[in-house]
Amino acid sequence: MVFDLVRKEQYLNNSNSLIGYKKYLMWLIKLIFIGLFIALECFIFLSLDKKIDEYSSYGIYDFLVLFLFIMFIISAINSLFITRKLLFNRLDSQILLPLPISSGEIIYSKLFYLYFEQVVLNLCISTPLLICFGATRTFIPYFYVFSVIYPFLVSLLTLGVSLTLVVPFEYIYNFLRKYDIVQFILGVIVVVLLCYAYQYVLDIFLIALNDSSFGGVFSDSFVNSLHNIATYLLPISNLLRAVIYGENILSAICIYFGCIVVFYLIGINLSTYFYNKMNKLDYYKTSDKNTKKVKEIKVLSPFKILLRKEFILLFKDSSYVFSYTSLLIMMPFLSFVVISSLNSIIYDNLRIFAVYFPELTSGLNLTLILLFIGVINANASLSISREDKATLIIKYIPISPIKQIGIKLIAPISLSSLSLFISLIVLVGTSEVSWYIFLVALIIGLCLIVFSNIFGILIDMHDRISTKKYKLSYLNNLISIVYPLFILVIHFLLSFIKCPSALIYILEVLISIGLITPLFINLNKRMNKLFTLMEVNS
Amino acid sequence: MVENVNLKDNTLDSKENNDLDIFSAEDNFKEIDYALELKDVYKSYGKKEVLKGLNLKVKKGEVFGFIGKNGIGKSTTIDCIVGLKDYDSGEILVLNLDNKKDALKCKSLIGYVPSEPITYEMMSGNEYLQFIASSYGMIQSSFNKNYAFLIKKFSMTPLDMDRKIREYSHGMKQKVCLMASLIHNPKIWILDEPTVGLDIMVYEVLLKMIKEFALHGRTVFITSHNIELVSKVCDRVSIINEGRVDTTIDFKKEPLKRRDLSKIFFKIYGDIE
Repeated sequence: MVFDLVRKEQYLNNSNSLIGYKKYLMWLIKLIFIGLFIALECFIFLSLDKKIDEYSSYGIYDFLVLFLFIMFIISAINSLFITRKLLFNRLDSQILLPLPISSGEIIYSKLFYLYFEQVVLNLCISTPLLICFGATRTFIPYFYVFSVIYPFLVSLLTLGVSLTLVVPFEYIYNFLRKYDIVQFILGVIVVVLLCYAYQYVLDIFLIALNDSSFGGVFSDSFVNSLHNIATYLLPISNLLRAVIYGENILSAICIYFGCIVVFYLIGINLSTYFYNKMNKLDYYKTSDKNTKKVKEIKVLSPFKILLRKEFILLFKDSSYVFSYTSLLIMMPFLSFVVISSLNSIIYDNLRIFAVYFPELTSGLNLTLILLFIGVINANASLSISREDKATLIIKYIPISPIKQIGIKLIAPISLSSLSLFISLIVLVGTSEVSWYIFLVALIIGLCLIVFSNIFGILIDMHDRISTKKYKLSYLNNLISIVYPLFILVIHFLLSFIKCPSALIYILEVLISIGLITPLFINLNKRMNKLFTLMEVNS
Repeated sequence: MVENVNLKDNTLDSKENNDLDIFSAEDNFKEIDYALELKDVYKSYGKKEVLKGLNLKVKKGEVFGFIGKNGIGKSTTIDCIVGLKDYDSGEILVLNLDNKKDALKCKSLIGYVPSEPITYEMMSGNEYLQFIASSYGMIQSSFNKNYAFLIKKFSMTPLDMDRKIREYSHGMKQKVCLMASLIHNPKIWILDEPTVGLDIMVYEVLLKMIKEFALHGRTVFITSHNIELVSKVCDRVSIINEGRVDTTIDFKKEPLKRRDLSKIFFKIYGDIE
């Protein structure tokens, strides 16, 4: 029975619409990608292995421990998300619980499936590294056996960790789902952290570039701290130490398997108990112990209510919080970090090119600003898709298509424009860009935002007309990348022929305005027609 | 004009106006016999023709059932009436208004319940009703009366209404959709498979509301697989086959056919072997 359930999980999670040769073709493409990834991973590892001795007396071992530990953490987090999805899936529970299958069997089947996935992931990522490490040091065969067994061992532990944490995680997840503001703040924090990580990587890149080697990155203090930290990256560090150096074998085995036993004892009991409790006692229904006062519901004007709805869609849908709103909030910081780094790279390394391209820095700055705003804005420009199934509602409410579309455009255009404006103020305020660039980037950026949103809504409606076979929604993302590059090419070409700066800027602004103008021809008529033809299945 | 949907105490506030000016349309409705008229409606999806010259007349104040087997075009018909889909040719009149030329007026006269409870799930029940009421341009006093009446009728507490819709069960989502379809005092109530997911209590309330709604001179148009519901509440029933109306039964003239509806249904499509 457990294996039937495992097959069910595998079928549910891997089913796709591909049939026949397309399915095999997809498998082949996947295999090629995995092969390429492993080749690239091994190449980087071996290259680093050759060079690292120049900077670190400890060799690459510490990096191996660090990398495998990071992999372990990532696998555990990934496994935690999948375990939550597998165990607390309401529909799945509704089907399985009435069947004569014990909760234990259901949970074990899900764990088997997850374990298998984790093993495959680690076989693709961790094993090649261990084999590379062993091969360059001509280790004896048992090390290679360990390299193959390692994914099976480490996946046991990641699964145990995720099983132990899944219940608290489920509670936190549901708590967050209820409070949009907390969800939004968390989204912003995650993006801020990612931005800092990005800045850190960028700094390392800059140091490496300035030193023309890795010497700047691998300073003595960095190498020593990594060596000290690597010792404490349990249980990976002592497991590798035992296998590679034969040190403290017994304690390593005891710690590793001790951890596994403890995590599984806690995890299995906790998750089985809560699986029953949550799924059978209708945990998904929130309690009515809410003591909030019921506010009077005010009827608003159609304009206000539609605008409010758009902001709710942008700020309360977690996918938009991550891909759009929090990125907009971070854009001033992100653009500042990247442009200041870029300016210092140009100043330190690429000044020579300024002889041929006097407007080198301004051109790159302008392009980067446009790229940032273009790409972020494109994430929210498919305003009809944002409705998802509720497109049905906008079709049957008695508000004219033009009014609805107009209001749909206001929300992303105003938010993106505001973010662009603040970013430019920050860049001018910190003297990273000139006032000319401020003005030009503002005008072209606004053109790009307006174009992207209007074009986005048009192609979004076009794609929903049943007779249209070819979907065009990808075009909007493409334009948000291609257009800034197009501006860069113009900028460089005009700069190369020594065109005056003012003329370059004016031409770029005129080209941008000229390119978006045709979009407004018969716009109302086209929007009305597409909205009417756009079909929604009830 | 926005009327109070409070059917229980029979007080229909038809004196209050809003910016949609349905009041003026109401005067014209007295002269109109049919709430819905479909004349030679054709609709196809690519090469597949679903509606092949559908003709249908739904009288004002009647409960009309529209039944047929799966994939025969029931929902497509409703989608064309409500404005979710554009039909290829023909004419659809909603209280004598062309639903293409006077699309917004027609939409404001209709209360629509989709077959799946589709709402904005990140909104609370209250926010969603506020959204629908505001979209239909309701006035505050009328909304307050209808809101109080509907949450009581559908056994939803104010605290339930304050919760996010994504936390609701299927049945509760269905209730919110039913409430949203009535909050703005529609003249025609169109229900596409309304009973799916409803508990027996709400099912009974729904039956009662359908009957009361029609008693106040308003029209109900239902599609359902639930033959029992259709035979119980409908005044007339049409069975669709091959993209056209095959049979129409008037239960007022032929009351005995209520119990034979299943037989008639199977006769049209052929008995199950």
